Amino acid sequence: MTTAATTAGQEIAAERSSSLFNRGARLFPWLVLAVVAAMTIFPVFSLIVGAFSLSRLPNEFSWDNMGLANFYTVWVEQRIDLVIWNTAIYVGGATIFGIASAALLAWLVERTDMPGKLWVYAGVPLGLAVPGILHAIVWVLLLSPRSGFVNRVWIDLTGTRTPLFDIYTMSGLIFAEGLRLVPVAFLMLVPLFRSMDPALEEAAATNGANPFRATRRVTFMLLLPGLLAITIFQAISALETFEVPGILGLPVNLHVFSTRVFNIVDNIGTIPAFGQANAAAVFYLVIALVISVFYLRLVRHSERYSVITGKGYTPRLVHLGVWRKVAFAFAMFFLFVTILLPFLILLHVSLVGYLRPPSWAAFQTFSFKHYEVILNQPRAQIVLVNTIAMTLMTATAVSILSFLVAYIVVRTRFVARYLLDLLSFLPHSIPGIVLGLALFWLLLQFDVLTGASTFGSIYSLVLGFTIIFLAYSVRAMSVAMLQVHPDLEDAAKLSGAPPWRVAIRIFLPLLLPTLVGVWIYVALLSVRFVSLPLILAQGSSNEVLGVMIWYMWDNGEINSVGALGIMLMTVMFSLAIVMRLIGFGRQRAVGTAI
Amino acid sequence: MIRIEDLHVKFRTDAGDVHAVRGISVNVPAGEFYTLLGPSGCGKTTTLRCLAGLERPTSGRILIDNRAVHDSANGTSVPAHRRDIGMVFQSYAIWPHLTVFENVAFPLREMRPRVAEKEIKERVAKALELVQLPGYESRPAPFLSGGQQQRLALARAAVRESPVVLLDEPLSNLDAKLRAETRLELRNLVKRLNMTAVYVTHDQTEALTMADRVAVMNAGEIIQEASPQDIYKHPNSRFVASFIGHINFVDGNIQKRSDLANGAVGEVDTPWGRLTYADGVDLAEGAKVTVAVRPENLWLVDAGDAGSANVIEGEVTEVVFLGDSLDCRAKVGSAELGMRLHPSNAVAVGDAIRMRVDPGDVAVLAS
Repeated sequence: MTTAATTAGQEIAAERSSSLFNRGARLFPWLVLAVVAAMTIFPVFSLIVGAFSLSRLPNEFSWDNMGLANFYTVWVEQRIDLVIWNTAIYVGGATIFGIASAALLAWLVERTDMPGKLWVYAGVPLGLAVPGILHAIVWVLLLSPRSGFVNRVWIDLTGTRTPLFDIYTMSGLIFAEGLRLVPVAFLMLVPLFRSMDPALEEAAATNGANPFRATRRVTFMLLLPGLLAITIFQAISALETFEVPGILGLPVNLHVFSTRVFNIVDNIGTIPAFGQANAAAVFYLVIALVISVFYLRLVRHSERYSVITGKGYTPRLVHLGVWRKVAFAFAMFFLFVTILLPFLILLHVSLVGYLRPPSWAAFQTFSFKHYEVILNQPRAQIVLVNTIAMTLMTATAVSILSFLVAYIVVRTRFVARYLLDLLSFLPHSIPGIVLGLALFWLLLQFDVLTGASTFGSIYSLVLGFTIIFLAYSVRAMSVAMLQVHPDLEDAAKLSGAPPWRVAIRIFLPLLLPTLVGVWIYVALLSVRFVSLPLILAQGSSNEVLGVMIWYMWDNGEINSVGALGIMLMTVMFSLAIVMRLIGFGRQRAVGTAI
Repeated sequence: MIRIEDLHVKFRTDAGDVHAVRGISVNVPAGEFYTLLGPSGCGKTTTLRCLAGLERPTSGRILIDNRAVHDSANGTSVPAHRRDIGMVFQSYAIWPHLTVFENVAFPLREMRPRVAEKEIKERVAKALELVQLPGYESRPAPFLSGGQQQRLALARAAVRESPVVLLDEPLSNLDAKLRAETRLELRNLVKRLNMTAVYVTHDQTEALTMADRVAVMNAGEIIQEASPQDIYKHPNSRFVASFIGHINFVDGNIQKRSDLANGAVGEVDTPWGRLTYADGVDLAEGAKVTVAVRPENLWLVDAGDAGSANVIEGEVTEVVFLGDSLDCRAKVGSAELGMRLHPSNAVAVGDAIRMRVDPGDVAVLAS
C-alpha cells in the first residue's frame, strides 16, 4: 500500500498530465482537419490559379500575367464542347453497358437457380486485379483493325479487307470501359439483390398483382434508388478513367476529357500549353464535382428505402428451366473473356518471339527472352524499387490518415466533424489526371518558394495517391468502426485503462482486419493507376511500373509490355487473394459477435 | 457515497441544442441500491454516464466517496479510467476478441501498481464463482449465451471490488423469464458485495422490486424520489402515477381539507361521487385536483353498503379474464373506471356493482 501523501502527489501529477493530454487531444482533430483541408484545397487552388496564368510554363508563373485567354482558347478554338459531347456518349454508353452486364450476372447468382454460382462469385471480383491499362492493351491486341488477333483471323478466313470490329472507335471505347466497370458494379449489386426481402414481392402477389407486375411495381421500385446510386458511382468512375481512353482513343484523336487534358500538355510536335490544360481541367473538375454532389445527396436519402435489415432471408429463386445452361454458358464466357483471356493474351505476347496471333508456329518461338531483356535493364530495376517504395508509403499513409479521420468523424463530438467527413470525400471527385496537373503546379511553386525538391520525387506520387484514395479508405474505416460498439471502449475506460491502452488492447485488435484490408486495397490501386504518375513523371527519379508500361506501349515494345504485364498481374492476383483470405473473412465474425 | 449537485447536460446535435439533464441533485448513501426510472430520452442514462465520466456535464458537481470527480465551477474532471467504478452496460460490452478469463482479468491488468499473475487468477476465479460461471475461463466470450454474457459483465464490474457499481439497463436484453429470475439475484449480489449501486431502467417492475430508493425522471428532471412503496402509493404527479402501474384518473374538487396530523381525512368531489382521502397533500377547499385510484384498490361490496362512505356505484361495461385476475371496466355516471378483481368474482357485462376504496388508497394530485 502506498502512503496517503504519495497517492495525493501522484494524483496531482496525473491530473496535470491529463490536462496537458486533454489540451493536446482537443487540438488534434483540428490538426487532422487542417491536413485534410490542405490536401484538397491547395491543389485545387493552384489548378484554378494556373488556369488564369498566361505564362507559357508553370515555373514562369507571375501574378502580373493573368487573364481569361486560356478559357477562350479551350472553349472556342479547341472546341471543348465537342469533348464534352464525346465524354457524355462515352460515359453514358460504358455505364449502361457495364451496369447491365453486372446486373445480369448479379441477378443470375442471387435470384436464379443457375449452376456454378461459386465460379461467378469468386471469378468476377478477380477482374479488379487486371489494371485498366493492361485491360485496354489486351483489347487492342485482339481487336486492333489490322494487327488484332481476332481481326487478323477474320480477314484470313473470310478474305475480306474490312476488320470484324475496330477497337479504336467510340463503340470500342464503350465496350472496353464497360467491361472494366463490371467487377465493382457486381460487388455493389449483389448485396442490393440479396437484401431484397422476398416477402415484399409475395405481399404484392397476394394483393392481386401478377408476377410481372409485382416485379415491376415492387421489386424494381425498391431497387431503383440503390441502382441509381450505383450507376452514378460507376459513371463517375468512367468519367475519371484515363487508361482505357488513353490507350484506345488518344492514338486516333478520339478525345474524352481525361485524354484531352493530357493531350494539351503531352503532344508530340506541339509546345505543352499548361494554362490551357488547366482551363480544360477546370471544366472537367466542375462536371465531376456536380455529379459527385448529386451522388452524395442521393446516398444520403437512400436509407429511406433501405430494405437492408441484416435478417436472414430464404430468397425465392427464379427457375430458369432450359435457360439454366444458357445462363451458365454466358457466365462462363464472361469470366473467360474478362479474366482468363487478358492473362492468356499477355502471356502469349510475353513469350512469343515476335508479335503474331497464337498458332503452332508461334508456340515454337516461345522463350523467356523478353523477361530477361526487361529484368536486365537498369531502368526496370529503378522502376521496380520506385514502385515498391511508392506503394508501401502510399498504403501506410492512407491507412493511418483514414484511421484518424474515421475515428474523429465516428467517435468524437468534434465540432467540425461533418466538414472533415465532407473534405475527406471531396478528393474522390477529382479525376487523377486533374490532380496530377494540379500537383504539377503546386509542387513546382512550392519548390520555388522553399528550395525543396518535391517535384519529380516519388513523394509527389505518394501525396497524390493519398489524396485520391483517402475517400474510399475513410468510408471503409468508418463502416468498420461503426460496427465496434462504443460501449466496448467505455467498458475498458471504466476498467481503468487510459485512452492509449484502450486503443491498443481493444480498438486495434478489433479493427485490424479492416486496417490490413484497406492497406492491401490501396496498394493494389496505387500500382495500377497510370494517369497521375504519368503527368508527374520526371524520368527515373519517380517513374513507376504503370508509367513504364505506358511508354513501352507508346514505343511499340509490345513483347516487353506483355512480360511486365504478366509480372504485374501475378503480384496483383496474389495480393487480391491475400486480402480475401485475411482481410474480410474475420471482420464479419467480429461484427456479429457484438 | 455518491453526490450529484445541480447537474446540467446540454448536447449539440444536428437538430439543435438538447438540454438532456436539467438540474439534477442526488444523494446516495453508502450501500444503497438507487434506481433512476423514466421513459427513454428522460436523461437517466446521460446522468449515469456523467457519473462514470463518459459524458462531460455542462455544469454541476459530482462527488464519489467525498472526492469531487467533476466540478464545473473550477473545471476539474477526473477521466473515466481514474474513477474507481464498476459498470455494467446494456449491450454488456463483452470484448469479442478476448476469452472469458481475459475479459474479467482486464480491470486487474490495468491496475497500477501491477497485480501479480497469481492474484489475478484467484480474483478472476472468485468473481466467476460469484456469478456462477466457473469452468468457462478459456471460452471465447462471444460463445456465451445472453444470460451468461450478462453475468460475465457483472463479474467484470465486480472483480476490482470498487465501492460503486453503475448499471445501465443490464436486464433489458434478456428474455422475460430470465429477466424475472435475474432481478433478485442481481440485487442480492450487489448487497452481498456491499456495493453502492446506481441502476438505470425504464422498467417499473425492475425499479420497484430491486431498489431501496427510486427517482422517477422525465424530460431531464427528477419528478419524485422516494421508496418503491411511496412512489407506488403516493405519486406526487399525474406523470409518476401513470408511469408506474395502472391507474384511474378523474377530475376532483376539494371539499374538505385533510389534516392527517390530527387524524382528519379530507373530502373531494368527483364524477364518481364524494370520496374521503387520507393523502398528506395540503390543498385548500375549492382547489381543482386530479384524483387517482389504482384498479387493484377497488373492492366489490354488497348492495347494503350503497350510499356509505367511499362507495362508488356503476355498471359493468367490459370484463376481461386474465387468468390470475379479472379486469373490469365500469361506467359511473359520465365517467369510467377500471378495476382488477380476484378471478373468483362473478361479474358480467350489464351488472350494477358497488365498489369501495380505502381513503388511504385515494391519491390527490394537484392539477
